Amino acid sequence: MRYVDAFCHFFPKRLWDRILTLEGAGAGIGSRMRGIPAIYDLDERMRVMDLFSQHDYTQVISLGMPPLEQLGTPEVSVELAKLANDGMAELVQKHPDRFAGYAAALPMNDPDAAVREAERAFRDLGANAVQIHSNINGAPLDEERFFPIFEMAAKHGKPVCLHPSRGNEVTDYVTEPKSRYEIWWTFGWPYETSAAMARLVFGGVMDRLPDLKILAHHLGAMVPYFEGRVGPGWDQLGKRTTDEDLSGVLAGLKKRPLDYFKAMHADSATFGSRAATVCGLDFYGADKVLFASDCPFDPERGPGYIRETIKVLESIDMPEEDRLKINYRNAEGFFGLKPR
Amino acid sequence: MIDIYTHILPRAFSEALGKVSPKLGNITARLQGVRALHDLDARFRAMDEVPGYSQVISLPNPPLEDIVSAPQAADLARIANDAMAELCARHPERFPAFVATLSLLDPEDALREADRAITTLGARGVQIFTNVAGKPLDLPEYQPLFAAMAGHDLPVWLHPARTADMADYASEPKSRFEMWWCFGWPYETSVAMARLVLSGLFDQHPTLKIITHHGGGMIPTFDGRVGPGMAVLGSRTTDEDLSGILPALRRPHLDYFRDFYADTAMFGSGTGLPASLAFFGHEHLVFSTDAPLGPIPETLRALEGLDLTPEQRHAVMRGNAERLLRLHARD
Repeated sequence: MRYVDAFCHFFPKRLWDRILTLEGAGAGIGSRMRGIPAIYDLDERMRVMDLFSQHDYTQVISLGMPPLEQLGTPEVSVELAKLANDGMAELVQKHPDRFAGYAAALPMNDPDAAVREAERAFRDLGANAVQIHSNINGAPLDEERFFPIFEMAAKHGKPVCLHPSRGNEVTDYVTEPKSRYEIWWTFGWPYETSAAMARLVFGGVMDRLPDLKILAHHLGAMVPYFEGRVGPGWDQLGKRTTDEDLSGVLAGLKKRPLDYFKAMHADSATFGSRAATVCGLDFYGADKVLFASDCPFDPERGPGYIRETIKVLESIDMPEEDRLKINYRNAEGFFGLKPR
Repeated sequence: MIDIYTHILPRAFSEALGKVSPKLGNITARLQGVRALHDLDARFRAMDEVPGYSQVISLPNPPLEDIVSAPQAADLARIANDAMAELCARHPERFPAFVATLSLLDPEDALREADRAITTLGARGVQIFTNVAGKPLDLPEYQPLFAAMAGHDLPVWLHPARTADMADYASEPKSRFEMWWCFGWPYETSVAMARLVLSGLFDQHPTLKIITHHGGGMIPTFDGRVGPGMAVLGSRTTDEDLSGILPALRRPHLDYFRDFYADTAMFGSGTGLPASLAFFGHEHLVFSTDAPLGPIPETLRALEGLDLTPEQRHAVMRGNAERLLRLHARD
């Protein structure tokens, strides 16, 4: 069976080496990621992928956390993005049997440069998508300064892969200075993805760019399970608010809020959760779900979630046609991959 | 069938609230518009649509702790509990039980009111919110209440609470587009559950029963993050040593999350229900519509699609509630 892993992470060597020379956030990521060699060591990555040689298994790669805009000044982020995209493009070119495509990284702290880098990646480097995080150094994605970036992706017919981002500085209680017990990760990341999707909807980005393709990481985060809140709940947007008139928001949208969420794509990386996979498939349908593992961020540092995700999908009863779509056919069309 | 989590605004309570707090917080505009919250005739008409249907009643959001002072909140809680007890006494077929309201601004007084509501007024549990005026539930000052509820062997209903004051982005002063409600409430529930588990609450009180609103928050579809993800607690943190948290628990951490009960109030969506059932099991899944803030017919229709044996279905729709509230054991 062919599998295209639509959302998984890798740092090309020249970028990785440069990150290790950075002060602050760069140094932090170096120490955290060193325990996961498959994110920066190509040989180790290939050893992980070899475990799935009984399948025709390839990956669409994107960078791991943190977002480039967190790693330094705009100037540094611009430099890092170039290294990233040159490196990922080279990996795809040299190892097409391993890497079916890649999502370009952008220096979002310099939106003009990000637009230029997106164009360069699409035009010159064969990028199949761009990866954008759920907030840009604390700012929502529907700020006007980011719009040209989404516009560029839509113009090239290429998707935006939406990745969560949050640290412990976002507190869970007003009486506490920071989020405790890594709740910022466990629940905060899915919240981030869900909120970012909603901002693209309510901020009008999806109406202005009706053809924009969004891939919401981790099977649409909170949206499928809370379909009732996103659907009938948000059909009453404004009714829970008295200090601001929100009645114009729904009227200003071309569609019902739920319809925008349903039109997005989502990947099957759910940390091996069968329940989440069933729920997400029910919500999105087989045409909108792409196989993905989030490799190498599993407890085994590489193969764990690939194996578990395949196992979960195999355990779900569905027509063979749907299985092929989820495993690779949707990804081919969505990313514009070269057919095999 | 017993709808275990529904909301009501008794007239005596609304009048008292109107006197002490002319400014009621931002959710009350919606509550005023929902007639069945305060108009019994309208409520009964909706209930009559479904044969054999009864409701366990509780106050709706907002938490008293968020809108009035401590003494006022304590008074209002007493008024609400007296009024709900009276409704149950007058309409036992419709309202088999009520859930006591408390104000945790004064935890000692809350404890006394819980005892009074349960022993004198017949309340079959208490409702608390996911934060107490911004404070987490694992603080020592709230532990006597959990101990008391374990002692009474009656459940705690856990309701989400959050307002636009909790911003979604560092660059913005408040949450926009009612995100604080749509995703913020399930987030609140999930965080509160995690805090209670990781603080060892269920090791202290292994028989404590907590009913979480709206399908147990995010837990059922994020069992991968809560399970294997949280299993490496501490590995993502460099400014604090979290390595002792999980070893201090007696059981694997994910097991405790299954100790909670989850209700079926998903605004009529059936998409998530199989996940709720898979995670909590039919003995910990309890029928609820959130009426009149959630739809009764749509929720029932969504439940029809759930894969249950007749015995399991009876447990979800009625049996679990009877057991949890010990309705048969009552005088």
